[in-house]
Amino acid sequence: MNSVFKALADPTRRKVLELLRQRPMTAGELSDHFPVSRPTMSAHFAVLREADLIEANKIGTTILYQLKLSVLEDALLGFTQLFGIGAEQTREGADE
Amino acid sequence: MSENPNPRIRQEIFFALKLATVMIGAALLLTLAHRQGWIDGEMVVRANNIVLGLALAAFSNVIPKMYGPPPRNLYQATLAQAVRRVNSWAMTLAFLVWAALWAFAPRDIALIGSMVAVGASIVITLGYTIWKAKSASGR
Repeated sequence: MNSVFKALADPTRRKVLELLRQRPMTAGELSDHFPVSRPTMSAHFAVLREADLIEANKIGTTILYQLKLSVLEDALLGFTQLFGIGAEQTREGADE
Repeated sequence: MSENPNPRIRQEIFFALKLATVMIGAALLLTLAHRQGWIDGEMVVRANNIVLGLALAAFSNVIPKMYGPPPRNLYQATLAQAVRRVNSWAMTLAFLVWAALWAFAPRDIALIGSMVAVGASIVITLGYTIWKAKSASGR
């Protein structure tokens, strides 16, 4: 459960989960939504995979990321989004 | 990438067996308590249904994490993810309602209400699956 809280504590990773709620996406599609380098995004994906919140499947030559949130984790994600936990951190990062 | 599914399947089987043990164990303990005269028949039925509801809610909670065949294309992946998510939410909430009704509602209301809740969740899941499959194939 610790790994889940760690994964959900970061706004970028929460945004990744929000995007994956709409539909499964490739690493490239997800990375396009963030102004960070590919290696940084890969690290975020690794944390989410380790927490068992997403799953990577290979379709042809592309890797497709899919959501794997239980109802409890989904509700937890909703609460953290609702109360904007970590939003200040993102704003500070954007200001820099 | 999709890892070897065997450990995951084993984990899921163990989880289901644990829940089954809890349900059967609770039923046996409640029957024993009733035979000893510690609780009445009404309490046995209610407590048994509460345990049943909570155990099935716990099982429904992890439906999106359960092993399924790896998707062959984006359409299949999108459909599977959406259906599993709706199914999981609908079933979890239905079984929580089931447990809550058996805990607090009068017996007649609990009996009908719990079945209506689960029936509604099945209708929602099936309806959503058909709608999603039709709308996705129509694109």
